[in-house]
Amino acid sequence: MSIEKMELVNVAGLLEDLDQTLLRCCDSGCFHMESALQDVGDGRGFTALHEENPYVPTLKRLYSLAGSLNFKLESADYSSLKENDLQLDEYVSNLEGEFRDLREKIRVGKQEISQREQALIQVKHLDGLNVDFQKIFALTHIGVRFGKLPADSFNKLEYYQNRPFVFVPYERGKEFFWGAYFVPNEEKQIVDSIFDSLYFERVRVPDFVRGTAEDAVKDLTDELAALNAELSESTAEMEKLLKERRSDLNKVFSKLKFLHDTFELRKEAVVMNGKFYLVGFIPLKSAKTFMGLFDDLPGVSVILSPPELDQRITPPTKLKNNIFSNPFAMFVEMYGLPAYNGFNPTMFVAITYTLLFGAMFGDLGQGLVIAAVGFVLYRLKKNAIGQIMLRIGVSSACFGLLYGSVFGYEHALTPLYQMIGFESKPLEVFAQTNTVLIGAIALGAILILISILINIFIGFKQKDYERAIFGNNGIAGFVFYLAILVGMVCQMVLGIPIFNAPYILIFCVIPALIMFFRVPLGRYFSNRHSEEEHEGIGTFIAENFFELFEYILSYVTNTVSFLRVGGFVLSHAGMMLVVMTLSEMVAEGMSPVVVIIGNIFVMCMEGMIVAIQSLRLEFYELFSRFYEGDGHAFRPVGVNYESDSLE
Amino acid sequence: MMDQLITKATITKARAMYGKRLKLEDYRELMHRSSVAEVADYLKRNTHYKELLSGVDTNTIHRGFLEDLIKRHGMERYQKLCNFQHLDKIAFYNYEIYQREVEEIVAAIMHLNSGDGDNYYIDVLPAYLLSHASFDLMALAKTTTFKALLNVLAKTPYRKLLEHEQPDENGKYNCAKIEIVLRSAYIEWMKDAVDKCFGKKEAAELHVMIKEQVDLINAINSFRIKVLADAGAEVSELGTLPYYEGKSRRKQEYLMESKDPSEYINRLQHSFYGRQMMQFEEGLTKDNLEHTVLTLRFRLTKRRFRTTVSTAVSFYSILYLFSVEEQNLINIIEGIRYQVPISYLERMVVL
Repeated sequence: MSIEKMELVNVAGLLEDLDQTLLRCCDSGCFHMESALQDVGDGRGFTALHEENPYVPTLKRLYSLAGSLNFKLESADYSSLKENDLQLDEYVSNLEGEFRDLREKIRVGKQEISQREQALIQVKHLDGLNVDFQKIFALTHIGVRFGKLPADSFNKLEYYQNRPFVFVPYERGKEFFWGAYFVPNEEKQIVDSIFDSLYFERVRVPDFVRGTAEDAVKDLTDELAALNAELSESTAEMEKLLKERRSDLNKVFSKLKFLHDTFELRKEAVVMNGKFYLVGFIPLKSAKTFMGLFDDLPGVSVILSPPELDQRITPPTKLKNNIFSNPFAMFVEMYGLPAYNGFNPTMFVAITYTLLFGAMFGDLGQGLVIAAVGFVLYRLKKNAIGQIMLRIGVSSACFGLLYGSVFGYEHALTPLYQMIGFESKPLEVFAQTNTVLIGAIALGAILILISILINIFIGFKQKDYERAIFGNNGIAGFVFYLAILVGMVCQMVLGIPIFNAPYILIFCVIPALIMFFRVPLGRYFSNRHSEEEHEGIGTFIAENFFELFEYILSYVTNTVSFLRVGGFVLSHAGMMLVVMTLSEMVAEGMSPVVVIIGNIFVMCMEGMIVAIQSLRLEFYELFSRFYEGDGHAFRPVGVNYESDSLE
Repeated sequence: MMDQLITKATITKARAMYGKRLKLEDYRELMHRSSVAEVADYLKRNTHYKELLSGVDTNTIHRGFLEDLIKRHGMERYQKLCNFQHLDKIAFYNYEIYQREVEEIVAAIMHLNSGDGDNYYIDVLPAYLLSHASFDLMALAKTTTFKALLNVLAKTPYRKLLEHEQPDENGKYNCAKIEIVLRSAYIEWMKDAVDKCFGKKEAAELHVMIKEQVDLINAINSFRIKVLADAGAEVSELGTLPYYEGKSRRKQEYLMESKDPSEYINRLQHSFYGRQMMQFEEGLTKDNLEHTVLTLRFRLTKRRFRTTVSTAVSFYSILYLFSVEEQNLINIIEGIRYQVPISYLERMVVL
């Protein structure tokens, strides 16, 4: 429930040991690399390495080969591969050679099939023309043009009725007339230009077409069948070869990708006088193991230091969470990781999100179903969503016990309550609407107060006294907000007239004034002097007046926003009431069906809405009080087998 | 009143159609294509022209055929909107056919003037109009004399408008004048149809739109005459459409009395339309006047389309907006065909 402690690592050594060093850094799985140029700065004699990655061409060829074979390259254990770089390149060339002939055979086959298919399409359109093609092609005084004429242009043919040609349409498509025009050879040029102006698209019937259209269709169909059979054979042969070579392909790919990605890391190093310099971070707990990796490289030295030592580099953040809160890290990452010296809010999110979801989606049966679905999802996909569903499902089930609701049946649990000494369920949602709404507001107020306390804690931890004491989320804001809440509860609920002059002065006016003067107060107590120009008094008053107004307004709006929790409690109960009413209206046999479908519908729709609303409350109402997601993630260097992007 | 309420669904349909219009990103993509086939392919894959081009092989499509298809699509859109709620039963909604008939008559007369017997007019005759025109377009295409043309138009109002036209000493008819005569008649017919077919409020809105159209066309025509012929006000007036109101006439006369094109621009900049055009990024200059005026008309129409609750205004606007889109496409297609620089094409697109 905190942030992993890091160590700043400086690695230096002889340039000839750089590749081995990088290999070990990748193998370690715990080294987060930073750009060394950023650390040493420019113009001090250090230069970055700008080299062409020698593994790119071979890897590209391998990707191309795999792509042409529709084969997805996967990571594999390549420890048995003893080939060096050159031998790997040769191996890829041999593989290409083996597949080349087959691929060429398949390509030619596909091309011939495509040609025959195109010819078949054309010839099928000529079906109405019961003439031997060879005879048509043999005509000496008449020219024939097969093709298609746009339907609009067909209507214009009337204009040319006195011209020496005949257009014979034999098929109508959506936009075109398929047909042929016959023209005396001496008029061919003129008539061709007329048809060009009418956008006639000529179709050339291949010379291998023989006989009438009907004969040609039969011949082409037979040829296509034979070609397709040949193609299937070649494809099967290809697949057999691929199956035999699959394992080798993946091993070679894995090794090449590892070498490629490791080589890419050289760009992060800087060199000077034949020596390299790397910088990065490792988790503190992995420090000893990491140091041990370089024992057999006497030319390489590894120095560990506290992460804050180098102000130019910000340590990365790796969240440390327990089993319960770990899945909720997804939400924190969505908002933004905390800075290295910041606060890990994951546990806070886990508890509050679970609570809010459960409250808004309280139903024993539905909660258990969501938990079960989440469990199954987690087992199948191993993702965080399944784990979150499991937790919030259980929470919903617990709240369902409070509301006495089981799949919308509001009185199914009454015997249980009576057994433990209650007359009926603890909370009758529709009968105690005010309790629900006021409870929601109270929950919201408590969560806001907790958020402010967290902010105060962070402020003191970071020695930011303006934040911790004088800000709207500091002690001043806490006192102000709490005083208003207590005052309202006493005044309106308990009937205690607490809002008297001393109370208002001490707990409202003074904190408000402190918030108003938070910036100068903060500077005074931290001995900081701003380098900014001092603004005029008028500007200061105007700015801070509106800011104070905004703070006070935000207390109100953030608190009232939690009314939605009560709203969703009521809407959930309302929706189930509708389902139950509908189930009573249909025939008795259909009633269970309506209940089941209604429950599924509510679980899906309302579940999604409540999930989103809970997240909204987290991010907007709570996080805004204390959290700044300005950290960057800890990403240990390694090989990315999924990405096919090559430099 | 009831009829007008019943036709409101057309507004929704028009707005749904408008949602599918080409956007700036589409135009940019199109302008960066290197051939007509690529333009056709983009239109087929990514725009509402998908269905139009579904039966067409974009690899072999001819530029002229593509342009014809785009224009035909415009006609089909008009038909679709008319048929949706049987608006064609209301006289006003036939304005589109009237407008296209005028264009074809002028094109046929230009063909007569060319006189060398080529097939120019049949090449450009829109075949999709054959079944909609109130006269025989094929017969019009075959005419070889003005008298024959008048005979084809015998049973139409166009005959009376043209029967007194005389050729000049070279036997050529003044197409510009004939166009103005026909378009003026068209505008008068529109005004009349608006007053007869619609209530006061809707008619007023339509009249404003038509007035804008007339004023802006007149501004362009007068400027052209000023630039090409350096003509005075009397000559310029011959190239203008009938004014909508006295105020329009006085303002137009004020523009036409300019000594030269620069003064014309200066006076226009200070006019009602000019002040709006001056707010555009490129402002209003001699070089961009026509494009800027078209852009103004486009944007005024767009604004009106978005806010109107009148079926007729919505109908009139959407068809104009799409006609601009069609012209943009045709400009781009021709620009790509003749390898015009992209920067030039960008200046031609009206958006």
